[in-house]
Amino acid sequence: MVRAEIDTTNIRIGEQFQLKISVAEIENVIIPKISLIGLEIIDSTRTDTLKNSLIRRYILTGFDSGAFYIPQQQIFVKNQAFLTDSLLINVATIRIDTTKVKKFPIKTIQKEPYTFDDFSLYLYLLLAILAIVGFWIYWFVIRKRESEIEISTYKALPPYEEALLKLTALDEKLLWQNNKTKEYYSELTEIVRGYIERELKVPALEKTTDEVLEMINIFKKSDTVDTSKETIELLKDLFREADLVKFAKSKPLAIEIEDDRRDAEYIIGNLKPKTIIKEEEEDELE
Amino acid sequence: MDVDVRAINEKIEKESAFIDILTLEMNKVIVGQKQMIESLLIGLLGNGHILLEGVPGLAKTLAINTLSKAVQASFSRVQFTPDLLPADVVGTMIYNMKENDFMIKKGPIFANFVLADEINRAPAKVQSALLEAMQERQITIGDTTFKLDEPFLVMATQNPVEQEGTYPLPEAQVDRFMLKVVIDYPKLQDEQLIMRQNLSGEFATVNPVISVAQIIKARAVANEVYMDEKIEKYILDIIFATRYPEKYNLANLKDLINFGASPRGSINLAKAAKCYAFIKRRGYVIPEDVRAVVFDVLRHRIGITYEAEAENVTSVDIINAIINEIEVP
Repeated sequence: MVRAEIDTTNIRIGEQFQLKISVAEIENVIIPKISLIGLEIIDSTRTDTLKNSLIRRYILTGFDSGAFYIPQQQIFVKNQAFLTDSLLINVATIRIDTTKVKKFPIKTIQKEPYTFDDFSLYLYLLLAILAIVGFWIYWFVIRKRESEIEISTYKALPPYEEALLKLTALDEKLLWQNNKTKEYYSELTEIVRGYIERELKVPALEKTTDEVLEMINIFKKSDTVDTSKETIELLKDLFREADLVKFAKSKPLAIEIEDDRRDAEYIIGNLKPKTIIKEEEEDELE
Repeated sequence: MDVDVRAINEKIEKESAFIDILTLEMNKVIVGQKQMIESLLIGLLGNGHILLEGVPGLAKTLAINTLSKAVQASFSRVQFTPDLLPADVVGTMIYNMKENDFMIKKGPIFANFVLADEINRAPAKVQSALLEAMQERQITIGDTTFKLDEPFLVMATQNPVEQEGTYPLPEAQVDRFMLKVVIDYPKLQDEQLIMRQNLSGEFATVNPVISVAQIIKARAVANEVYMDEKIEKYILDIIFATRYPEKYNLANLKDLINFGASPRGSINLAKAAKCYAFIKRRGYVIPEDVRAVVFDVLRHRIGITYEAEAENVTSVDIINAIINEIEVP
């Protein structure tokens, strides 16, 4: 039922030989860890299942000279214990003529040559740190500076010039020509509101159409703004039209859009705070 | 979804004709409370309940009474007192000796318009019974559940004075009111008119000018009012600014707000803005509509901290700061 075989009975010190344990059954077989005295297991294969038997191979060796027994191994087949034969193995020493063999001093510890893998971790860490630093510099320094430059370019300009510049930029975007009328009117009214906010120094972007118009009318009544009733009417029409486009899916004709664009430019050119001439200056003028 | 705003405008033109007639009818009795009448109409169209707050004598009860008379609908009034019981509001089961069985006696809540007068004078259990009915729109008495008739509109009043012995509505319950309308004193000319009317003893009679069916139809049209994505974003910005003011350049409000508006706040703000647009005969919502209703919708939904109370900052101040900061679309 169970058998143990070795491929040789004589080896030299350190030489490897094979022990094969075969079982003539494949089901319910347990091959426990083999026990050896004076010999060592170098390697073992997984149990190989053949048609009617199981085979397990071990690579053994011995580092002491002498005769060693591989004791009987207990194998369980269907809960029944079977014993293999014991085997004898002779481990022989190698004869060395010490008078003829040249002796060498013990070598010092040799260093292995460096490979890429030795530095790869440091390299990746360095790259990650560089990427983080680079991103940080871009996000907090370059980008901020760019936006500051952009804002300051606009802010450095007087409100009228700034609004004109923005209107030209809006024209270049060709929004309504590309069926983006809603975005076009959003930006157009934002430019006009932004102009009112800067020129009249009042919050206009946070106010509704009615509130902005009411505010301008109050300024007109109190004579603090230099504008005509016609300009206020145009502003009213522009805002109303924009509200329809933005909130009521209105689609104005190209000619109407061009009119509104012209009106926006007219409004920013004709809505200015009244210049207050101080008395002293008046006297000087006189 | 493709929305035809022009078609909605036409529908509104047809269905909103009653607004002028109803307002005219109410103005026969109520003088100088235009905003209150508008708020009542928003509640009526938005299927929401209204909490009216104002000092005694500002025609809160009269306004609700008049509205119910102007609409051909059932009306009941419950005067909230400290000894009121939930059964006095919702109804109870009584023993019928003749039939030797229990029968259901429905409470005053079974009406189209319910006036809960001085709601803060009744204990929490009565308030809860009413507010639960407001939310669920149904009442269970014994084993039977009754669905409340549409329209079902609760208009509650409370006085900001005489707070002794009152039971203030908890935040979670006050959130169920679509609008909290604060009524101020009438203008001098209006008060003169009120005085003259009362002295002459000639009180106008209010006639029913609109049916329940008309209101339900108008509600459906008001619901169709187009709200653009930009307006939705504007509403959400306002609501989120009450929750995370620091993200909207309003870090100074952070310590003044205990809690911001709930999702019910955004739902009701959108709904009220649509109804306001309907009242103004518009088939689409504009930022003005949102601004017109934002105070009534949010004033009872923002919790203020002790710090804010100490500095005399109210929820209205907070809303003001928010709308002055958030850009109009």
